[in-house]
Formats: sequence, structure tokens, C-alpha cells
Amino acid sequence: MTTSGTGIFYDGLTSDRRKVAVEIGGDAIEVRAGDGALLARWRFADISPLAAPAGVLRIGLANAKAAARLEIHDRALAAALLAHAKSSDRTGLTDRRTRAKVVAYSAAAIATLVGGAIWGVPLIADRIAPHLPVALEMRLGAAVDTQVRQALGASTGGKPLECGAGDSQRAVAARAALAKLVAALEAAAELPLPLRTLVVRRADVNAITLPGGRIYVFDRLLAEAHSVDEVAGVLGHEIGHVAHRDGTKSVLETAGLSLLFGMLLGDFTGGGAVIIAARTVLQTAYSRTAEAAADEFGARLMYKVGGDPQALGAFLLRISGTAAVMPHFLLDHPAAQERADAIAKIAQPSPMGPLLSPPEWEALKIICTEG
Amino acid sequence: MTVIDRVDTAATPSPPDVSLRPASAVRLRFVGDRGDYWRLMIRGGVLQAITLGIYRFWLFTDMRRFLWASTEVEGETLEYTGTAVELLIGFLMAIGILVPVYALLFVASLELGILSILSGVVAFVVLAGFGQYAVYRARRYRLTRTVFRGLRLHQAGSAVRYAVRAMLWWVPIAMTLGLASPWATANLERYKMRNTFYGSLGGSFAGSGGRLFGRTILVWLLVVSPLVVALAAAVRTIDWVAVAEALEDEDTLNLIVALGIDEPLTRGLGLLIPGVMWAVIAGAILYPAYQAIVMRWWLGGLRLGGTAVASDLRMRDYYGAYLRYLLYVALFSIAFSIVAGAIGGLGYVALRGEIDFAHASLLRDGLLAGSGLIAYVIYIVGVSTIYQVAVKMRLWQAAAESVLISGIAALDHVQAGEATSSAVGEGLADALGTGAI
Repeated sequence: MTTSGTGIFYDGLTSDRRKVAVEIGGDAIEVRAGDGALLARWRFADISPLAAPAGVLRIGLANAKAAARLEIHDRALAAALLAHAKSSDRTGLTDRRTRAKVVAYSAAAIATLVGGAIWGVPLIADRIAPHLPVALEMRLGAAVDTQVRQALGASTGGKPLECGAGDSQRAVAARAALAKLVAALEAAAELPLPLRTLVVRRADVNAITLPGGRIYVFDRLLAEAHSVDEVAGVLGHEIGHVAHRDGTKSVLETAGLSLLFGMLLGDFTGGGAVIIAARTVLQTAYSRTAEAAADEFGARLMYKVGGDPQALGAFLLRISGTAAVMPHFLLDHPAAQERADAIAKIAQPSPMGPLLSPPEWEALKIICTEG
Repeated sequence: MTVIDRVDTAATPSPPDVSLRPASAVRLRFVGDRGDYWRLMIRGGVLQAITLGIYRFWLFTDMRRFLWASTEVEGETLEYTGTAVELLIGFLMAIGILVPVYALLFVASLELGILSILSGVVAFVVLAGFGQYAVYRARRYRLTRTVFRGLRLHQAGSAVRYAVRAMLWWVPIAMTLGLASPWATANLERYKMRNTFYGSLGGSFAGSGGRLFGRTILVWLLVVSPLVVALAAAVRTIDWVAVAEALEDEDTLNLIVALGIDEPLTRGLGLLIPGVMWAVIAGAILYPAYQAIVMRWWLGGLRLGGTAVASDLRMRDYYGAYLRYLLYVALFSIAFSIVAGAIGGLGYVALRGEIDFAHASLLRDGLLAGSGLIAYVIYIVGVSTIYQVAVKMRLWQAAAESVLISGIAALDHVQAGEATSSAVGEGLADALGTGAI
């Protein structure tokens, strides 16, 4: 086996190129200048092979501060040197092991992060949200409100978005009825922030709650409701979102998801679709949990104020008939039947008298019929 | 890329004898094997998809080791000494910096009370500033991980100063619709190269903004100026009062009718739309030429001590790379459609008994969504891998092979310089998407 030959040596202190004699000894390699002077003696154990073009063996000292390099173009000598330097990676085995490790650790990291996204993020949002100042949520609500009003206001056919704002007798009566209903529910709910409830012109059977205690009831919902308890049930559900600080929670959850899917995971070409898919599935799961909790809160609230907690369930079943069918994992609310069943389990009817008198209910129902 | 295992089989070129060096310029050589790079990138793409992107630190390190080791100056290749773990740590540290910044920006946007426009601008400026800072720090990291003839390169100067300088340049660039950008590029390159050292040998940049302007003005005239003219003409033509009145109408149908019969508006859009289309098409066609012009100018401005670089880069090499890329993507797309169609068909036949494909169910929808997602990721990773090899590596090779170095004797007796730096800048650049090879 070859034990000596020539190489190119850089001492790491200057860029001088030296043609050197290389000799493989017992436990080290010796590098000598043309005049025989010893330039370097590197123990095999300290040598590491470095990135080099094909056909060149380039070695240096592992963990050395200076970048001294020895290059060997003589393949027999290179092979002999590698045979001695046991730590070297002749077959690419170390490379393959590193890659396998990276994949294994990545899999573990992904499992941890996905687990964190499923359980950790909502748990942390649940714990933090109640401690964040209400003022922050109010500001967030004000900002969101501007955008929501713009979006809703685009389809009112020229009429004002808000119903019952006028000074007519009917408007005043309608406002009073709404205020009475909300006040009864709000008093029983013991909320951390004041409610602001409005009926708006919108042709969907729905109501929305913004951060900061703003509730918008769409007038079509009033039109479809058969009793005041159904409307009160919807309001109770929306008040549940306010009580649970769901607006703040949702911001925290979105931030948490952005960190996990977007910053830590998914940064590769084509990763965008994976991120969107993961976030959609997770966010709708968070939402379903929050909706179920709001249903429960609403049902208990209805029980407290003496309304019929079951009315919401019946209302949901009646209006869900026309809804488009979506895969369950993409729904942001649980299915209507599921919700009605859950509500039925929570509270039995406990009528103590109507929440609004028939004339008040009639006044509320037509709140949007006049400017 | 560990090529040690291939020593036995590969050819063994000898470095040229320095004493016999010709006085004329020395050409850079590209000695990488394209097959090796294909293997590297395909494996990297697959592992990236499996690890949801975590593998990128290893892939980027492999890419650089390959490209550096493939670039040969007078028989001696560059060497990249950075490691993937450094990049990973740098990335995690960058997350540690950016998460509080994002949180602060969010809270600030609420406290300022203007969630819409202003806070967006503030966030953009802050993050863009971080991006420029990261660009400079990342460059420092890469230089200190570059070894040539036993010496490291390094970079002095301040990343903060660089970021401020880069952002100040945006003002004239925006005001001149991009015409000032050659001077900005030259100025920033001068700052970078003045602070670049090979051992103790300092660099400089001789490229002038005026010259770059002269070479790129035709591209600007062909791409940007028609857009500007069309925009200006459209703005003048359109009767804005009439449009505003039409927009008052809440009814969408009325609105469309009102805008449709608004003759100045249709004439204005008739000017604007061809202008935009022209800019997009001309921009796409001229992009390789623009890249080649800038690269040739940039290479020609590089100086290191008494060493000067000249470049005879040809545009057709750049166009060739892009055309080849389009061809490969077309072939890949056909192959992908056939394979995906076959797998989908076989899957349908095999699962028809188990799953009712005609009706919605969790199983069916989950299966369809999941397999669609996987197919999409495979396709995109494939296209991106083709891009990395057919474009990125080809452009690198064309640029490297165009380089002629004169006065290379200045590199012969350089003393060692400074030590290494951390990879935080790389991490920031990675997290902010301002990273490069």
C-alpha cells in the first residue's frame, strides 16, 4: 500500500500554495516541504475530509481555528490515507445516518407540533385569554367592526345597515323591546364587558359576535323565528362567545397556528397548500369546540332567565334544512342535530313567563321594516 | 456532498504549476457533475416534503458545498464549511427574535387604533428593515464559511448601517419608478465589497451605477415605461367624477351597467389593460436578459486587492437555461399526469367496493382532499427541483464560466484574517424569505 506521495498544502496562515511530500506514519500523516522541513503532523483521529470536487481528497483538522488544508490528487495515496483515517466517511454511511436522523427527528418534531396545534394551542389560548385586558379586546373589536360594517353595508340596497335607528314610534318601541331582551340576558350572564347589540339588514338567518361584545343580529333571523325564545336562544349563544372571550381566543389561536404552521413547519416549495389545509382543519376544529361551548352557555343562560333553552335547538334544526352539505372536518359549527341534542341534554324547559310580551315581540320582529 | 468515496474512480487532474502561470487573465472553471446535482436536489426535494421543510437546512448546506466545490480558480476550488446545524440554530434564534416583533406589531396596531393602512405600512417597513439586516448578516455567514487556499473570507461593516442605507435608497427608487435602482445597486455593492476580505486582502467594487443604467435602460423603456404611459393616459382619460357617482349606486347590476356605458372609463381601461399585459409579457421575455446584464455588470465590478474580474457572460446561456426549464417542466407535467391518472384510476377501482364515491362522506372527502394535496405537493416539489437544477445551477455555471480574473498573483501571499460569525442572519433571512444561495 502506498504510504507516501505528493500533495498541495495550505498552512492556514497564508494563501501560499506549497507542493509537499506526504507520508503516512503510524498514527499520523506528515507533511514536509521540498527541503524536508516538517510543515504539519496531523493525527488520523483529528483529520476530517472536506467538501471537494470529484477526484480530489481535501482534508483539514477538525475543529481547528485556522483553515489549513492538504489536497491530494494522487488517488492511490488518497485511498491509503482514508484507510488509515478511521473517522472518515468513505462510503457515505455517516451522511446516510445523518439524513436518517434528520428525518426521524423531524418526524418527532412534526408529531409534537401537530399535537401542540390540536391540544396545546386551544389550551393556551383558553388560559391566556381571560387574563388579557378587556380594553385590548375592545380595541380589536372596534377595528374589526369597521371592516365588518363595510362588508355588511355593501348589500343593504341603499338603506342604512342598522335597523330601528329612526325616531318613529315603531322604531322606539322596537329598540325598547330589543333592549329589554338583551338586558335580561346580559344581567344574568355576568359579563366582563358591556354588550352592544344591533339588528342589521342582511338576508341570512344568522347572528355574529365580534370581539369586544358587539353582536349583530341579521333581520332575516328575526323574520324566520317563531318565538321570542328562539331569538333569545341565539342571543344567549352569542353572549356565550362574549363571556368566553372567543374573539381574543381566536386571535391567540391564529397566532399560535401561524407560528407552528408557517414559521416552524411548511417552509418549502409547495408547502403553502399543506399549511392552508392544516390550518383550515385545525381552525374549524377550534371553532366547533367554541360553538359547542357557546351553545352550552346559552342554554344555561336561558334556563336562568326563565326562557326555553330548547328553542335554539328547534330553531337550528328548522333553518339547517337548506344549508349546503360540507365534510364534517371543514365545518366551523357542529351539525345542527348534534347541537340540538347537546342542548337538550343540558337544560330542561323552565318557562317562568315570556321574555317579551306579545306586543313587544311584534315590535321587535318588524324592527327593519322602516328606516 | 461527500465525494471522498469517488476518489478511487475519478480522474485526477493536477493543479497547474503556479510558476508557469500566464500573465493574461485566468478563467474560472465549473467542474461540478450535473448528475450529482440532480441526485442531490431530487433527494432533497423528497426529504423536504416528508419533513415539511425542516430538511431545507441540510439541503441548502449540500447545495452550497456542491456549488462551492464545483467552482475552480486556477486548479483550486472553493470550499464551503458551513453546517446544517448552524443554520437550524440560526433559524430558531431568528424565530425567537421575530415572534416578539410580530406580537409587538400586532399590539401596536391595536394601540394606534388604525388597524388598516398605517399599521400595515409600519409592519412592512419594520420587517423589510429586518430583511435587509438579514441579507447583510447572511452574506457575512456565507463568506466566513468560504475557504479558499487555506484562508477564510470575511465581511466587516455593520448590518444595521447596511439596512438603513438600503431602505433610504427605496425613496429615490420609488420616486423615479425604478430608474434610480442601478445607482442603488452599485452603492450597496460598494458597501458590501469594501467590507469584504479574503484573509487580510480587502475587496472593492468598481461597477458604476451609470453604466448599469445605460445597459438596463432599454429593458426599463420596454417594460416599465409603457406601463407608466398607459397608467397616466388611463388616469387622464377616465372621468373620475362619473366613476365615483356610479360607485355610489349600491345595486351591483346598476353599477355594472353604469360603468359599462361610461365611455371615458372603457377607453381608459382600453389603454390600461394592454399596458399591463405588455408589461407582464415583455417582463417575462426580457427577464433572463436583464438578469444576465446585471450579473455581467456585477461580476465585472468585483475587485480583491490587485485582482480584477471581467465577465463575458452571454445572454443566450441564460435564455437556454430558462427554455430548457420550460421543456423539462412540460415533459414532467405530461409524465406526472399519466402517473397520477393511473394511480387515481387504480385507486378508484380498488376502493370502489369499500367507499361510496357518489355520496359525500368523511372517508370519501378526506381521501380525495388528502390525495389531492399529496399530488399537488409532489408536482410542485418536482417543478421546483427542475428549477433548481435547470435554472439555478445553470445560471451559476454560466456566470462562473464567464469570469476572467486578471492580476491573480495578488492572491498568492495573503495573510489570514478574522474568525467566523453566527448564522442568526441566515436564520432571519430564511424566516423572512430574503435568503439566497
